[in-house]
Amino acid sequence: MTERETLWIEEAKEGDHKAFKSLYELHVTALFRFLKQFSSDTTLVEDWVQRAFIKAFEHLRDFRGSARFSTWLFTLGLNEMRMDRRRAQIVPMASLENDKFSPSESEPEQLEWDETMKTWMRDLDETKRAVFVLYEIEGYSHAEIAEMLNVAESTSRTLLSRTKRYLQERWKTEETRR
Amino acid sequence: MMRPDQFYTSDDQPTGRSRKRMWRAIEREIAPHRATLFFIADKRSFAYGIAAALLLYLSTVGGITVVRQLVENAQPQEVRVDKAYRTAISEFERVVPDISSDSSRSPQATQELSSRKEQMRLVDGAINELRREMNGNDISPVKRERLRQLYSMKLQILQRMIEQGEIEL
Repeated sequence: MTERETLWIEEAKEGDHKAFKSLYELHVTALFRFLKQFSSDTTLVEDWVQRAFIKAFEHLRDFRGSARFSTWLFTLGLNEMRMDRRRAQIVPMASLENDKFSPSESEPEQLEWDETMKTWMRDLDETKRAVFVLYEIEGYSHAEIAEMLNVAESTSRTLLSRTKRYLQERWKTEETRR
Repeated sequence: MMRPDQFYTSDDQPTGRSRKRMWRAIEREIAPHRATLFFIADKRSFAYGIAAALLLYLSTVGGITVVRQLVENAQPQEVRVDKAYRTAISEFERVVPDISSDSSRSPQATQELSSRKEQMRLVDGAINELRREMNGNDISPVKRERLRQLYSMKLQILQRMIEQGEIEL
């Protein structure tokens, strides 16, 4: 977190809307594009983003600064999205029972990204998708992802590894078909 | 790690209008609730008003009591004694039951009762007349003596009526 961001957080804690707007401008794009990976409905994504920011403002005093502000904000955004999905029962929550880290699993190879893979990712459950985007694109560490998704750090590693493997295998299958 | 622009398309990004729309919605929610604030301010001012009215009422009552007390203390001793007599008699008359009109009385007792009632009426009339003449605080020693006699007479009649059972306690 930059010094400027820390200052905005402190000012926003005192109820300064201008400072909170600066925080909004800083993070809205990243949060929106991340949540957009879970729905093609822009209005719905806007709603998740709004609710995450409203909750952030209401509970800003609880934010101690031990993690990055964006980590906390993404957690709020993810919770809003999951809550909506659970309520609407659109997609049942993925069970993490089968995703426990196994030390025998090898680390994933370097993934050669292709735009087509983004379509395949829609077949994955939301937790795997979240781990992949947060780690590979947004640059969060497994510790941060574990905090956001409320899972063990090892689970986050396993999910990423399986997602990558899935994409690689599917790529190979598609290649042989061609 | 992949660069975000490799992964996200323009469809994934919020437009300028979308960002503004979202901020307006957020601002609406986080803005202090004006209606609530107004209500709180209104409630507070109402409470202040009530407290002020109560204070004003208590000060007025206190002021009136003090002034009345001062006026009463400034009155001559005679007036205060007269007032004390009147208050005592009227209080006494207020608490004793009505004069008994028992039909089983002997004709003599009935006559005595009616004579005492007449005496009372005359004494009351004399007291009222004397008080009118005195016109408030103007009490000459003669009038003062006469008034005392009348009060005493009235009390004696009342005492006699109680003793005779004409007023049942």
